[in-house]
Amino acid sequence: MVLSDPREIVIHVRLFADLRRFLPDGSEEPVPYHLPADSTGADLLAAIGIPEAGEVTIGRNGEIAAHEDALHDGDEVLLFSPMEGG
Amino acid sequence: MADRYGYWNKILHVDLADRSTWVEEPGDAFFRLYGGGRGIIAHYLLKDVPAGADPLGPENVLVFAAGVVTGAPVPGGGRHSVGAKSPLTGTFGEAEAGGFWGAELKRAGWDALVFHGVSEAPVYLSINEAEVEFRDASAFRGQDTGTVEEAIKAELGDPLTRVAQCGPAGENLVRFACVTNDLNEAAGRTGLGAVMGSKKLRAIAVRGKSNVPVADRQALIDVGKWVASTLDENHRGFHEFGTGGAMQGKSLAGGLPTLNYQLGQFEQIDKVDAVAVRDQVRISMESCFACSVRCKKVVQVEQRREDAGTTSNGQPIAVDPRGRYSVDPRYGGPEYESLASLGANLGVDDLIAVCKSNEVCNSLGMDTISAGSTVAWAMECYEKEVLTAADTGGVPIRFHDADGVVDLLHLIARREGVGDLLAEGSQRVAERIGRGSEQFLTTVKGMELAMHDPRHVPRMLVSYLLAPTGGDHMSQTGNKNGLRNQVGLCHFLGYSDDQSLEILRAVTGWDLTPEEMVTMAHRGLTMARAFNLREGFTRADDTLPPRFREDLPMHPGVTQELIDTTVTEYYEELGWDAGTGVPTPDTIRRLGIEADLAVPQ
Ligand code: SF4
Repeated sequence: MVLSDPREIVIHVRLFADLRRFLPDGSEEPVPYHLPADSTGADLLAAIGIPEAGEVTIGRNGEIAAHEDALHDGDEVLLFSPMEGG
Repeated sequence: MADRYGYWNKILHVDLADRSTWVEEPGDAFFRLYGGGRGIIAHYLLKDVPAGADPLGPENVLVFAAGVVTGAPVPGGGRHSVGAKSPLTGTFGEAEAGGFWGAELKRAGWDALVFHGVSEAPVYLSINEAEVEFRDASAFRGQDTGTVEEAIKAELGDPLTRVAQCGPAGENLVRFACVTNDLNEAAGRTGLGAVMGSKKLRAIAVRGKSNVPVADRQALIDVGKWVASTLDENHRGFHEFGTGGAMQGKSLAGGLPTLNYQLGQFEQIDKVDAVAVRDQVRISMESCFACSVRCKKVVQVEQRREDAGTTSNGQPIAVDPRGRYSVDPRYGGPEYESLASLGANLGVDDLIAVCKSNEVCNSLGMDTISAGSTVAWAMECYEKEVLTAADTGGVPIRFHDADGVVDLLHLIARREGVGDLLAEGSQRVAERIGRGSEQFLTTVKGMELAMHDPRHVPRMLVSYLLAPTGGDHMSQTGNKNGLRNQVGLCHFLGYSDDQSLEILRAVTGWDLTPEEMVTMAHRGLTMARAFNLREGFTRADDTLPPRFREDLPMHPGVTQELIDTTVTEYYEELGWDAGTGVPTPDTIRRLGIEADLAVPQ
């Protein structure tokens, strides 16, 4: 029997606007990301490979979150880049 | 003639009163000075509109101005500007639009059209290359834009004709009527459709067959290839959603205009954003002239399942489960501004109704921002009993009432019942009724702010305070909005400033420097400022209404101190007097616009 690693958390991620270019090809949203426990929003952005991550807005379970906030197993995360519209 | 690229040196003047036309060839220096768009518009407004003229009277002029880039074969090169003294604000009026009409005007051999006077009877102008013809438009009175565009194409026997027109709202002098082109594009802001309507000019049909000469075609083709091959890196969001793909983020961050800008979060935003549009009602994405980004949404809804077929790629077309509305795909689909102004800011979470409201605005010819914001203001007034059933003829105007909005938009465009009052725009109505209703205004210089809350997006503050047109989000000084709008290059394209310069050089062959690009933008803004000063606007008008002084739950209100420093810094940046905002004699000389405005003593 394989037990899930207690030191790993799974985060469900949706990407918006220009960040959608970081969607893995052919993946369905939300995309599950497996991260070490105690990972933060910034760690998630790094794992996805988003440059200039400082500009990104992180929404976690319907609230805005700081980049240094810790993530928890099962969190629903939305990521946004600033985008103009007219 | 020296080699001439990017423009024809041909401006068509039309006197609607006596139906005469003449061609002005202003010379190469003119185009290098003004670049197009705002520069050309400001030149004619300063020259031909007497101070204090009635915007809806014969003294106003209506200018359609392409830029030097418009019609060049490069992504984003499909934009043109429309301008006149604004009937909404009394200021310099200007708006830009994409699509194909502006490029067609250039391909017909014209850089700009200037309309003088007022026609006695409804008329439309047909331009086919050098051939210009006045044609009877009496049968079009009251007809929606789709019917009129089709009738014109049939009458002229040419389906490739491109049509710009004012719609019934313009005919009825709704002060925020827009000028629509290609049915789904709008020079939306400042009420230019009402100017067109006041001149009884229903439409301008253009057909062109000449390629705009460019200095370095290969360089432009290379830019096009770059855009296409880097689409994923640079324009993925626009390509996939158009505008409005990040509204959930804006709401989370507390900056989404909600309930007349009282709140920054709309809980139901995922029901009425561009993601919902893509998933529920969109049938395709369309493009503007020469652009591979294809960011323009097209939506379709049918009232009944039996009328709804499938899209070209086999997806079923959406059906209104309540059987209320069909939404015609000829009118495109809602952009971010419209999703926010006709959705969240009204508390409306009914996507089909929002799409219907957007269609009503496009088919009847109204700016979605001012129309939506005027309704939002009226809703708050009604909720707070500042506007009562006695004022509205018994029509309730309530937040969250999706169907009420659709009905109200029809009334406004036709100036029927309470619509006649609201067709004046929120600020005029507030001035008329008083009772504290001005506390709920979201206007600067009489124009409703676009859907970017300056409390959340501080860089919009300068545009709102200082755009010559009032609460406009498209008038920053920098190259992106300031210059691109003037020369006819879409600001959604992810070009760097260097690339914009390269495009301008490749089109015109000019040995342009980055400094000259900035100077060109400043020239347009300074001339527009001079026009406003002449019309009696002062520093006191470069301000925000009380609503934006209030705190949002997540963002503090804008302080007077911030307004003061923003205004002063901008005046200084533009070379205007730091106290009054009057362009200094030095600046006027440096910009080379002495002929346009007398040097102040
Ligand atoms: S980016 Fe979009 S709006 Fe701009 S030219 Fe291309 S299709 Fe038109």
